[in-house]
Amino acid sequence: MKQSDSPQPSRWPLKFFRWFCHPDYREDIEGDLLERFERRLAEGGIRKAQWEFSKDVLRLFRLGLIRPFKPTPSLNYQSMFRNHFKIAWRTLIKQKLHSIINITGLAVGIASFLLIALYVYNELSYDRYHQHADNIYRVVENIRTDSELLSGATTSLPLGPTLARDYPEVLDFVRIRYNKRTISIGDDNHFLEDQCVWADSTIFQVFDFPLLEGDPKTALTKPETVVLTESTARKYFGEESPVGQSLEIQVQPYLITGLAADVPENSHFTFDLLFPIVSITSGRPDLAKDGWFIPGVYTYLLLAEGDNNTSKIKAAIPDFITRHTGEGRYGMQYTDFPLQPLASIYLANPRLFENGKRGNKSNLYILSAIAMLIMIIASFNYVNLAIARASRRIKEVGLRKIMGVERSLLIQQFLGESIIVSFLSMLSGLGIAVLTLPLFNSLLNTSLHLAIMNEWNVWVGLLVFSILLGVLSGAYPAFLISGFHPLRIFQQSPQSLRSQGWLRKILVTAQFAISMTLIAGTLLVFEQLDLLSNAKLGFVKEQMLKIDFNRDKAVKQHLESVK
Amino acid sequence: MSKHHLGEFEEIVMLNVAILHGKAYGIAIIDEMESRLNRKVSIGSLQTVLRRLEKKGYLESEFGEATKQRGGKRKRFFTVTNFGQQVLEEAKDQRLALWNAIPSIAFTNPSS
Repeated sequence: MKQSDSPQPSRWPLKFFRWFCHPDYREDIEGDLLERFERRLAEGGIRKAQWEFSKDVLRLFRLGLIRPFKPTPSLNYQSMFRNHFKIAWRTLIKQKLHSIINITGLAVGIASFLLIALYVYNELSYDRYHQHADNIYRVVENIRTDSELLSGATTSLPLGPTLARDYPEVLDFVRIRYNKRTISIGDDNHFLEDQCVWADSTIFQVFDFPLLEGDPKTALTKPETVVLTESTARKYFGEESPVGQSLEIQVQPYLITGLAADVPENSHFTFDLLFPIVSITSGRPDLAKDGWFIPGVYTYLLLAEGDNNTSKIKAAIPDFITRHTGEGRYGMQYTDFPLQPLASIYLANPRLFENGKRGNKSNLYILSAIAMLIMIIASFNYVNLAIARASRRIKEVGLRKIMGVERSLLIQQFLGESIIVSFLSMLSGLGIAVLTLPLFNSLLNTSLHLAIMNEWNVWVGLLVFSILLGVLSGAYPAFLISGFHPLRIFQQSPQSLRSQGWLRKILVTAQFAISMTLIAGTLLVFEQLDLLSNAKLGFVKEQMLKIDFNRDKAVKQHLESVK
Repeated sequence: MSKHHLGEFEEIVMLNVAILHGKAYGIAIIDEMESRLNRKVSIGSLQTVLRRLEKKGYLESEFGEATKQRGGKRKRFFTVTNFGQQVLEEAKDQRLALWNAIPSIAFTNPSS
């Protein structure tokens, strides 16, 4: 019958009818429908005929005529499902070596990926634990002198207070200053503490540095007081509470007014002892008020919530500079006070006189790229091996098809099988990552932990990834082999079936190319580091000794005799 | 026989199938009912009844030849089985018996 010539009934009602109608009744009722449609078409317009057709279809939607919606009892499906597991397990066991190579290959890939991801995640997590992290900014300064441009990380003392006074958007400021102090226990024991910080008392309000003991409002308000971190306190006082006791610092007793929790690993600056900044400002009120161009403190601002506060402050800076600062020695002039979001400081390009440790953004990019490449290699390798294995099972597919297995069931079986295997690999990868984490930490001198695993989206990501990988590696057998004609499978030489090798060839080539790149890169870096540590520098490194004497006057005076 | 109770619509469908004698397929039955009884019947309601009657064994059906009409779909021709005929006759007898039992004075104004 030529279908295109004569007008047809509307497609969707017909599709709907074909879908719901009991297959036994489908043909003749559809015939009746069409006959009626043709008759109506002859009587009136196509519109009306189609409309009536749709109405007829709707009236056919009756309990007696619709197909049963559970074609087979559900028990059958269940046992089929169980059978898939059984078959998957048997194929794994049957080809032990192959399975082991396949699973461990992927597992090692996943483990390396996870470890690198942990590292990168940790690097990105710096300073984000502060409750106000999004509203805290570090002010830094750009200075122009007669001959150069300086972009320093430190600022002068009056910057913070003046900004806070001029702009209501600045809720609070914290200035911190670093120095070293010698702590004396008794007459003979002197300890050099190089993480001493002088800070405004607002440090406890702006940042999330909890005080375990002591009052955060008053702890850092009087001179000659000090707040210790937990580990520092343990060093000098053991387990007893240090608050209220005194500590001899540079031959002067200091009252301990608070006990702070240790600064988290992922902070861009850290401290062991906290001193009130008043002890600096009260000694030099002139500097505190007007000491521009004398950098020495790091200034952090807490801005009010709101999107445009930052840009408002930024826009006001030139005016601020002309109103307050003027010109310093050597023709120094401020050109800008840039604001750095707190979370960005760790990975930003370091400025002059940075505080604390800094990460390296390009390193992170490189590491992430390597992690992705490793993952790609592992996946390619896995998919490749899975495909190679699947082509051995063409005969099984042929037999199954002859026994009357539907194609959808075959697809289900193969996909299910490969998802099970990729899932196993994912689990063993996780296991390897957990087991090797301590080794990784000692190698990189980091203290990564699996806290990231508490986040549900990591698990969802892993799950989705393993399913994706399973589908990818199972796609070839599932969709291609299941489509083969069973007769062709059992022909003498199923050459035509095996010729679909292009995918594998591409994968293998890509895999080798990436491996080569990585190996070459590693060798290059190794050579470079080797050069760095072994190049001839003009002196014998092993015979040199560097001693930090903390500008001790006694050492300075008797330098010759020390030598 | 209350066991083989026939609904009114079922009875009419069966009678029309019998009238069409071998040419009773869906549309033909509907046409027949329309012309004889002036009764509009949808495909849906007719088909459910046909299938139900077939399941009960009152009707049987077989496919006809495929033609160029109807999108090439075959017709399904229904015929009344012996059992169906028996049931029909029983129904008729019951009706007649009931009619006969009506006392003559009950219907004062018989249609003429």
